[in-house]
Amino acid sequence: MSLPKYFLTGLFWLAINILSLQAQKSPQNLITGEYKELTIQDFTKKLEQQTAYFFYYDISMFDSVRFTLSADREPLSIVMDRAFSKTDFTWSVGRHNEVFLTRGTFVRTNLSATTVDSAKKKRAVNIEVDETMDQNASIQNAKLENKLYQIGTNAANNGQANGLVSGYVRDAKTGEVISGASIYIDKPKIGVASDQYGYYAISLPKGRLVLNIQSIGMKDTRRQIQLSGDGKLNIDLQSLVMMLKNVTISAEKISNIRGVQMGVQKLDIKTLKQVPVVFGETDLLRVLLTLPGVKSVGEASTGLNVRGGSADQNLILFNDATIYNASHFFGLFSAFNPDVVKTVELYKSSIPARYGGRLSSVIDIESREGNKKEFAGSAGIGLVTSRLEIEGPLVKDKTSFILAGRTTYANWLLNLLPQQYKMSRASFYDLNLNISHQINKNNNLYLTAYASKDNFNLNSDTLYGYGNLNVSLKWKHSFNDKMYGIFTTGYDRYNYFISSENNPVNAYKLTFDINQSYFKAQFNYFLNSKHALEYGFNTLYYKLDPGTFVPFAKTSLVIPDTVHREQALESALYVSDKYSITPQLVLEAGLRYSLYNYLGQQNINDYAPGLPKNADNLTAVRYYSDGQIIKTYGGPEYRISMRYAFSENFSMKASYNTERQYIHMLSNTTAIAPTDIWKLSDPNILPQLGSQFSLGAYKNLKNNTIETSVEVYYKNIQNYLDYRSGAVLILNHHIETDVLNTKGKAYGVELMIKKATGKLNGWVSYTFSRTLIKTDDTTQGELVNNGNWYPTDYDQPNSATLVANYRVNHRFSVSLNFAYNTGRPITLPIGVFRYDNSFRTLYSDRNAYRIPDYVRADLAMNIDGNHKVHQKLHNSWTIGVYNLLGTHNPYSVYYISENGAVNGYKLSIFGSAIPFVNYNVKF
Amino acid sequence: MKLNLRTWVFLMMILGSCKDKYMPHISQPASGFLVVEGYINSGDDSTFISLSRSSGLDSIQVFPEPSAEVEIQSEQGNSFPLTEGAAGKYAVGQLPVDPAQKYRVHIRTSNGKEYLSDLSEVKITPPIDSVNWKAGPDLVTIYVSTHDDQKNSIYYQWSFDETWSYNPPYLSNYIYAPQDPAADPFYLIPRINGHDYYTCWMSSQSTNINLGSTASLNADVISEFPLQTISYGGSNRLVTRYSILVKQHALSKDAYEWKQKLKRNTEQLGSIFDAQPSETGGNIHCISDPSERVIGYIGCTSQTEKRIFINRYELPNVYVLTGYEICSVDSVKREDEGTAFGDSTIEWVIDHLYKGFSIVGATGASRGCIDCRLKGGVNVKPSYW
Repeated sequence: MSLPKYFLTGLFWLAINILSLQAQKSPQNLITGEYKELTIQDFTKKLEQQTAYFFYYDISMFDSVRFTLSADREPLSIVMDRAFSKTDFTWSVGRHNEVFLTRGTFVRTNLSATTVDSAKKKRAVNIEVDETMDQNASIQNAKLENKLYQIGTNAANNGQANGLVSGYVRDAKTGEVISGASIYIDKPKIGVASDQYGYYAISLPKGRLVLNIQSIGMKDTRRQIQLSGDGKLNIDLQSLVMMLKNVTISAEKISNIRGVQMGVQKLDIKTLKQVPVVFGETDLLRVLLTLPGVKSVGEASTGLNVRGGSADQNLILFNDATIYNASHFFGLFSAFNPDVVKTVELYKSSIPARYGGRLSSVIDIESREGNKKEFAGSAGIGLVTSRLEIEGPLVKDKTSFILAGRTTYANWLLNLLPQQYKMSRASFYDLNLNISHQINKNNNLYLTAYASKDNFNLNSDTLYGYGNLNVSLKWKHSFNDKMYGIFTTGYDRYNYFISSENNPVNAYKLTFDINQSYFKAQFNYFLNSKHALEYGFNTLYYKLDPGTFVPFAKTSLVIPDTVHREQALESALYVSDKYSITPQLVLEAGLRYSLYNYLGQQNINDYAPGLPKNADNLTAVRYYSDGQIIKTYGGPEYRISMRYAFSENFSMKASYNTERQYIHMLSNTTAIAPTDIWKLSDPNILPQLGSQFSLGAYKNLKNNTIETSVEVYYKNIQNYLDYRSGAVLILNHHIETDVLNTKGKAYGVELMIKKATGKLNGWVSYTFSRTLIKTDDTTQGELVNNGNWYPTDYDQPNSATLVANYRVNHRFSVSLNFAYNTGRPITLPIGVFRYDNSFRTLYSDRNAYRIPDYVRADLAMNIDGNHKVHQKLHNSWTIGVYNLLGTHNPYSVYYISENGAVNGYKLSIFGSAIPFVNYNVKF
Repeated sequence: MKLNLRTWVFLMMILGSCKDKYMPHISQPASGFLVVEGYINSGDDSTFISLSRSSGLDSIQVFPEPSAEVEIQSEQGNSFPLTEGAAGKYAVGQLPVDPAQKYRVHIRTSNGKEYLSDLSEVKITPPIDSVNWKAGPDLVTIYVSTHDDQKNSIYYQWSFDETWSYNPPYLSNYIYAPQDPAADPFYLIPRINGHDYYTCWMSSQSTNINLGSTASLNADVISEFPLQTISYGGSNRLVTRYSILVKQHALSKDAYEWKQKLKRNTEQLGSIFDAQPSETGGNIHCISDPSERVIGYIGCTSQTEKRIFINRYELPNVYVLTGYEICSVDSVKREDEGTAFGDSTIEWVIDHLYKGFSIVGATGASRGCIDCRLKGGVNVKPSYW
């Protein structure tokens, strides 16, 4: 809106009205009437009809205020006092019976401006009729900073000192919800953050308040409210035009100081896009790898190792769906299309009670809802992949969709290669569809679907393939201002196959799949300003086909083999309370009780107690019918974290967590194949138990532009599975005979310095960590390394990363990435000996050696087109070099027998600097 | 080489991946680790201990360890020295083993280092109850059964020696000898030793580690442990007569578990689906340098044996691979004999060639189809045959 225009119009009408007023007679100034829920216009009209007074006010200040009172032949002063008693409106009467309605101290400080503003007289000026107000009277869509929003009614004075303000924070342009926005008042210091649905609820003392709202990437704003009782307030935020100069950010924008949870990292898509990655395609898993405590065993490895946990101890959730294989194309790309990702949150120490089933971390990836106001889209073209994304409203402001896809076209390029490489093939695609629908103000529905597929062979006739399929439906229902529930149901599938069809005699196809269906109910209840409760239950039904091996040609002599399907039910009840004891001290305590049932139909091997599980000690095979409960495991899990803020920019936190995990990934990390087996806990495979204690200190410097943190942790892990010598994983009908229960411990210290804003931004992190396991249960028979502690496959003690981004100007920025890791442990063959009539390979102690250290630097330049707002297309280029130094970082080390000798080789995926270029367009 | 731009970019990408030779520094003595194999014989046979060195990965071979002093020691301090026969092979006659004591081996190698095994309890191997076999449609499985009423044995290892006889398809009755005055008009003289080439014996030793345990059973009974399978189409073992000598050793729990690990480590690796080897140690330690690895497990046990035979006629009427499937008889007319048998190392005569009742030449085949020794067997009949 253009203020000068209103200003002039207002001034003009003021002049007219003052002139007309002078012609009026002296008033009979007593008032009688019953007024209910009147707007300021109606209210003043009624008063004007009975008196000679004429009211002047800024209508926008009052459009959320309702007046309910009664008067019986009373003078204006009494009525005015009654009307405005619990507000900080003030009123004054001028010489010519003008009544000026103004607001408290605000007015006095710049009286002249307000007077001019007040000149916008009611009949003349009709600014900002709130459309949301017209649709449903109780929700206010608060768009203006200088307007006073009335929340709750004066009448609803129930004697409580506080009122609950709740509502949604949205992007004004696209209508999408904004999660993680801070909503706070300065005095006293009370604040909350919006949740993943953009919903917030904050209990505040009644009266005049200024609500500050801040969110990364959005313009800071504030809302003035008159809080009289519980009520709703939706807030729209404007996206931030890129800023070049340093800006001062208040503590709330950076949640590291004030948040209760530890070890939580939240990255939004803007941050993700700045980090250079191979082939220029934004990759959230690779960005996670630059955070302290997050590691990977190899260049193209799919697995993340969080704080010394194995790759299967991470719960990767994509809109509630579990993603079992989050990678594409030999692990070079992550499974998530950057066009649909909104934020990713990594929980590595305090895991909220609503999550469970994995020991190490939760990686919660949220996708965008799609533009609710207009159709838009984006596309990207790279050397290996292309992507396209379309979004828009199905019903304006109510229903939106986002549809996105990615694919590779590497095969035509592979054909250009010399003969010996021509056999290689690789392709993948992924598709995302999200639909979000607002049924009414209390009910929202979200449908999300994800599908991906990968196929590749590495210069051989063996074809590998895998895919994810995930569908979920979520219903969010607000019971009242203080409580809402989320009900989610969905289906996840992950499958892979390996096939070989060239040799007619042994053509085969091996398939594996995991299917799970789930239902989750979650309730959030804002009890009062001190307690915020979250509780609910989850249930998850697993169906695994652990391996089917079939002939893949009519002539094939392969004998079909199928490992029997596994079924299980994993359920949990949880409750957690965020208790703000004082503004400085906040405690979040959660209890989760998980229960796991392993179900028939199944044959279960019984082994003699106290003896190693092997074929010789098999005592019986028990048969269980379909659906019969074979074994039940369960127990409580504790999630406690606490924060004490010593000052605005210094806090310390502590947390203690326990977790249980009922599904295990058995992986041969030396192979270049996605042949990982997932195994459910059964009577012979115990659930993994983990506990973690961590402590952290957080200090912000230079007006909160620089965050520093130190976190230390110690973890205990029980029943993590390691493998017996020469374990066979694929098509093993009795996998318990090939695995060993281990005890594990992991500890480390993580240092991080982060500069979130400014021309130069980014972070530096260093981690020292160890993760060790041992097998000291002599009843298992075999002791690895004589029962001593030995490093896990992913024990990488020293790790350092640097992510730096320098914005040269609005359109050009340069990013640099540097990563260093100690090489991971490996068991090496060290010789050959003859025993029992055969030559046998002599191996080192398990994981006694390490592959060479990992060092890599990447550079990327982002060049944006111009930033004209009304332009149809916005385009940008990303040009860069991956592995700038051309280091030969080993991906795997392997040994082959050549001419009577065993020779070792290390394979580097990227043996040289890889240039890349990407073109992106938004429409 | 001419490359256009997009090829170059992609070559950078794919050929950027590279394979480098990787030979990490491995702390292994140049001479290899000492490997000790054998057992202290608690029975009435000799004790054999063999010493060798592991080789590096660059040359797979056995390096015997000669000139060591090897002795068996009892818990109470008696010692029995072994003497070296072949290089690295040490032996001593029957030992007066007392089942109540424990025994160990002490080794001093020629470089002065001393090695000692852990004390091992004495195991007395029970006799093998039976070795039997069952013929299926595709293969024969050989089983071993044993039991120990005292329930002392529990853990078992079996090894075996196989021997089988076979015949080539043709017996040579004549020799082509055109120069020999005794030759008949068809240039043939009778072969006296034809049968020397007709029956050979081949043998083989078990290379797998076969282990069994009764720890989970109420009785110490091994019933029909499948020891060996022989497929009809896979070898010529069953073509005429087959014999297997099964050797049984009772093991201590410790020894059993070590062997189990050795088996897993070294018999099941090879494809990309296999996983995770681990170190191979044993119960022998270097006293001079406790950090030095020694490979091997020396226990104290005895050996019991049982031999069985399987004759072709006992098997179902199935086709058994002979190894001579490609053989055929050539008929050679008299006038062509010179060319055909001229190079007598290639073709041997089988018999006269008849047409009706009259001889017109000779029949022959390649020597490989007549001389059984060329298949790798020996034509000396074993004593037990």
